[in-house]
Amino acid sequence: MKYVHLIVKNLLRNKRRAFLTASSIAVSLFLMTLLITILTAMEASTKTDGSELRLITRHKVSLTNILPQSYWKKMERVPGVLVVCPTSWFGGVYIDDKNFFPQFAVDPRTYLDLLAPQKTFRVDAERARDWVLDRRGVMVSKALADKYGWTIGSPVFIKGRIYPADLDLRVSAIYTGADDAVYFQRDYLEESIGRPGFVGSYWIRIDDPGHLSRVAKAVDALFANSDAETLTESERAFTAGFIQMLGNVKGLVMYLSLVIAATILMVTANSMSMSVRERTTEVAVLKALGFPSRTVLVLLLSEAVLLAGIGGLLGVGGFWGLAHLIFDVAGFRLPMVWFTLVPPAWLVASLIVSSLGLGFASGLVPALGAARRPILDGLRQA
Amino acid sequence: MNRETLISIRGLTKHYRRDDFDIPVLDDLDLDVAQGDFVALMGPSGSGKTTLLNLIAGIDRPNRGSIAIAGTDITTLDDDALARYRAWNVGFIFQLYNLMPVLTAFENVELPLLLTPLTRKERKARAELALNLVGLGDRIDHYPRQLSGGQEQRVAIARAIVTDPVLLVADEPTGDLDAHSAEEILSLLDRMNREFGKTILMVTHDPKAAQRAHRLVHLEKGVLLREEGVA
Repeated sequence: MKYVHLIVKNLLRNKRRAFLTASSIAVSLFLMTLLITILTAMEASTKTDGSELRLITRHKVSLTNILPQSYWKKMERVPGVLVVCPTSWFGGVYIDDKNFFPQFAVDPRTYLDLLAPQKTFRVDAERARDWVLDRRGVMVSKALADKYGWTIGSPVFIKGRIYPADLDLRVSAIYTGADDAVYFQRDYLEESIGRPGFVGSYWIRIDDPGHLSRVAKAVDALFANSDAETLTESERAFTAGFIQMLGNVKGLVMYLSLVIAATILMVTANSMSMSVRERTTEVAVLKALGFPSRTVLVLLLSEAVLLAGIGGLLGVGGFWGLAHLIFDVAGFRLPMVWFTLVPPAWLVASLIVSSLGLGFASGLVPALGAARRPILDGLRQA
Repeated sequence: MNRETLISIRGLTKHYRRDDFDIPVLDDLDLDVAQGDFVALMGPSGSGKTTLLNLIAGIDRPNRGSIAIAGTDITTLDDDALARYRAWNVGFIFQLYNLMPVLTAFENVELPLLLTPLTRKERKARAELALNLVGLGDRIDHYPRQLSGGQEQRVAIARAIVTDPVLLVADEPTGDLDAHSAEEILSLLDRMNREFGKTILMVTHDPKAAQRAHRLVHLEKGVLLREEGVA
């Protein structure tokens, strides 16, 4: 602790350089946090609790092809299947295109059954019953309700774009859970479009995670060689596949993160090299006064670690603070994105610790050089 | 006066390599310095006086020979032990003061005490005492750039004595100062020697400065040319 004052004073000997270096690190880490947060949030969205018990059945050709409503009851008879919920992506417009949020037509009874094991899904039981009983009722997420000022009974008018129907809904229930969407009765949609009996996909809950593969095969076998063959997969695999449609995001984020880390390393190493070079004599004097080489090494490395740490704290902490304000406090949601960009605590902590590691790595070469340089060589620079 | 020998040098040889050339600097030199002595090392440039001072101070290593300080041959010490030797036994006074520009006078003087187990309060008391001894008790919060050359050298002397070392080594301590400041510094060194019993080795070109020493040691081409006492 007695050296802290010395480390800080040396770090701030050239305030402009220290500020610019810390700022470069902060901006780089801000960007790195954003990228890794996107990746983490996308991956986390594939692992909602209870998802190990859920399957999704869609048309074998593509997600945009529809399935017949008649499959519903047949699927319920497959051994191991507890609940089958038909769902359709509505994809309408609320007021204007800027207000994007997922809209699903579901069977409310089976949907509530489907989510029963999910601990993070919470809805008032009485309100949920209202939703089941009200054909024009809509269950909305709390974040969306907060954002648009919806309360129980609020009208929600959604203009159809995929389907030739507009929805005139009333908020019946407000839920908290892993997603931010609105769920309304598929009966209402069916009635509005002349009851064609179409379903976008089926969401299934099974009795045991160990039966997942067997049930998926059994469901697909039911409709093999039919006009509408099915592809059944776990909810996790389905969401992961959805993410993969965006391309190799994980690889891209990893490469960009490596580039950013290398940039931080070079910026800090350059700054530390300059700082050490311009006080060669001072380092020699310290050693002449009796400071052992390893103490000099620790002092110089501490400067690099502190500098990178300040940059890391500003960059990572700054991103966290900003994201927290935007997404948690203000309730903002990005269009077409179903997750928020608030980095989890473990990610914030890991990135700050990583910035310290980068500081250590970048300071190692100049600090070792200074610590090993003979005292007389340093004194001759005076 | 029969005083105990503090420094005993035997067969000290040092040469440097510059490219393909071997440059002899000190050649089989013997020298004894008594505890409490004030020795001026004199000689032309390249005579080896600064090299001798650096070797005694433990910031350079000889090629051959021994340097016993209070009975310990410092040429046999490893780097860590040599650093400890410097921290506890040697006070450095450089020609260009070599203070840390980012530290105040007080912090510069406190610097060697960071290597000791002293508490912050004890370090403060000792650094302030050292600055008061050199007459800069009212300048403790000044940075080197806010001090004159003479004042900077006095801070350097306070830094040299703050750990109460047995030996002060001064390399041209007045070389960068005006006559008045040089006189002040020499008086201060004289006081350190007479009042506090510090053994002082001083390299100087200035005969006037050398007159403050008890003993003059003349070097030329790496050998001891002659010694003389000063009245």
